[in-house]
Amino acid sequence: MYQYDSYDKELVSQRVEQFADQLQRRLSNELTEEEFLPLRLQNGIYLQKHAYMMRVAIPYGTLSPKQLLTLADIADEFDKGYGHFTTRQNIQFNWVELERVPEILQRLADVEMHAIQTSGNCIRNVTTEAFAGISADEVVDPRPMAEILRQWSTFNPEFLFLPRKFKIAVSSTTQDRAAVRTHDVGVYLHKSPLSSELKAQIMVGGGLGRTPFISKELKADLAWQDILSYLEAVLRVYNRHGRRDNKYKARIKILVNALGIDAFAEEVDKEWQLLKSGPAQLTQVEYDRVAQHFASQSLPAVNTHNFEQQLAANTGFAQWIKTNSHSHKNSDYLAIVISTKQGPTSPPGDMTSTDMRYIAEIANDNDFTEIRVTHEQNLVLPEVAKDKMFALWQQLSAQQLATPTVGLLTDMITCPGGDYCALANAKSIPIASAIQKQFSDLDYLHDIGEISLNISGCMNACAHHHIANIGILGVDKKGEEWYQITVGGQQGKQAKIGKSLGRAVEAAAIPDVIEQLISVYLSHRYEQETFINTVNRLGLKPFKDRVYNNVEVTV
Amino acid sequence: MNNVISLVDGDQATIIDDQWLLFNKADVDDYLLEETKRSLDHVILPLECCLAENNSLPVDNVTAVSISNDTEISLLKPWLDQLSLIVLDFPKFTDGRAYTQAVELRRHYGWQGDIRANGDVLRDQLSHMHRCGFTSFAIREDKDAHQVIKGLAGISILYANSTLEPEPLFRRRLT
Repeated sequence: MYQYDSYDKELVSQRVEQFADQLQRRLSNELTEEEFLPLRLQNGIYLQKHAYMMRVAIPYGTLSPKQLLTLADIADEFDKGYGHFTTRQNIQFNWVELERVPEILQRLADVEMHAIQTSGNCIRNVTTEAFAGISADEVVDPRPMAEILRQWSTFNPEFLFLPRKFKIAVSSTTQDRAAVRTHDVGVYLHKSPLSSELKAQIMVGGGLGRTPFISKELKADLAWQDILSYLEAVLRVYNRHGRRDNKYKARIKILVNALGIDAFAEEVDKEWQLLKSGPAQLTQVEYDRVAQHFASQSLPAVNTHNFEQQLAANTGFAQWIKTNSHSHKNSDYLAIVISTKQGPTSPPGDMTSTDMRYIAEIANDNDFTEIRVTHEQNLVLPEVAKDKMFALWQQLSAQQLATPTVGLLTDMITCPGGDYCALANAKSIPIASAIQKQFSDLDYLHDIGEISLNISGCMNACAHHHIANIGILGVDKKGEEWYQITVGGQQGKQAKIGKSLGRAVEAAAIPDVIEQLISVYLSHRYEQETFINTVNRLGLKPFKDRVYNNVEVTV
Repeated sequence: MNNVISLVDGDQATIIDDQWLLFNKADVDDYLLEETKRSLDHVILPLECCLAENNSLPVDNVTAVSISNDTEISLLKPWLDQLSLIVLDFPKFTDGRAYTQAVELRRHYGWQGDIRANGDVLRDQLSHMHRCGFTSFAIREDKDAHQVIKGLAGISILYANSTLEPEPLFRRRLT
């Protein structure tokens, strides 16, 4: 993974001092709260319902075991012993004292971490595929470009006070597991079939929230050397013309749709003509400098005979491998997903310091150099040899960290919701808990198969409910918490926004509603057909009829 | 203008009250009534007054203009040669459009005169403004410029290219 050099270290170290000074000036009232607000937001500090929350950047979701141990220490010393992994592959601490933030920042800086631009109307943490560097279906490792973009966007002085937040994701696989098309700017890296030169397809104007949009193509075949100058042009056009009169209409998606993609592209191109081939043009030397940090190690060959036998002999192990592993480009290895959704009592994304330490120690014992965070709020051990797999499963099982439900109904993405968040209309965590209770039977979950279910506590859509097969959105009805259900959303290259099923339902009714949706699927699916494919084939009507009229439908 | 931090004379920032008078449109109308002393020495005119048709102002003599942060920089093009000061506006420090205007003036038009930040100009944004090409800063009146000037230092490392340092760090990095 990327290692800081003297410049990177100096930057985060100065940042600690700078924020300590800003905080001091706030505490002495030299800065008003209004003046301080954007400064603390640019350092990931929100005021929530009960306390300050601090969001720490985990660039493109990659952590070293040492960094995870530091996060565990922070959880113990500055929070209530846990943290919350987010859909931007970051971590949030929910119970932070403002006065102690500089201490936390120093702890982070000591292990090459920071909280820069994890909030605020600026360019946020760049995200990418959690399986970057190991997927067989990737064209190129997306992390060097993600790191180059992280550096370029850090304190880029022209773009710190944009109309609204700005999110960038990078993907290089045919599938897209980084939800690229719901980002303000998405970068699909690919190789030209003729020259095998690295190119970027630039997508723009995606985003969820109140007005969900799937992004549109802005540039098909940008040379990789031009990415920084091109994004500079995009950001400049946005900074100049993005709306500032209404925060709900301030994202770039609104500008793109108001102008139309062609007119927007023309504006960007006009600007880019003035920048391209200038000093921002990336060099091979720089790309190689960054890329060498991510170069794959040569992996020793593994005798997989025992692994095959264990798979055949132990159904629990086989079940776990089926759901919680992801193929590695070296077939002697697998990536392992550790779910944070262990049952009704574990809020999705939350992890205790004990579990963080346990995982970091497993990583250390096995010489795993990194741990990934997925945007589905799980952790990944990206490179596990098959002959070590059974022992790993036993170790993880001993700590209840081997819940074999990744990609299944209970692998929900959930925002902190009304329990913590000042913006939320409704709670999310108790809904997730109720669904966990209702669907606790593993065989049933495996029978239902691949499905995504996301729960957001408000229209800001932090849990990406729009692009879930089943989305649940908390709404406020005269002071009461109600929930709108959407069906048919999906992520990936063919991302789609789910459609509303009908009128909102009460919290208590949700597990039954989900049960009804599943029963329609189960009674109508073709063999091997996933939930989303059945929905796409049948349309919403049979699902609506079942939920609202309790009508059994024959199709 | 008062409470101004200026980098115009060399790299050393100084705090000055200078002779420039910032006129808004109403000021200009009043001024026009006083026919006798119609000189534009040290007057910063709103660009819209310069652009007005049937202008009775001696606009050929204008040397300083102010523009709103939604003004297209291209409108300034015919005036750039005669100007020595352009004032860009931060109605709120959270409204960052003037950063882009400064970048355009410096990098696309190669304009060398003084670009002044005016309005909600505060300590913690000073280094960003400086990097975008601002060379003087009319600090918000209730703030002590002697404190605010410390904000120019900012964080010394910047990865991206900027007006101040046209080469990005990756072209300057010592390995």
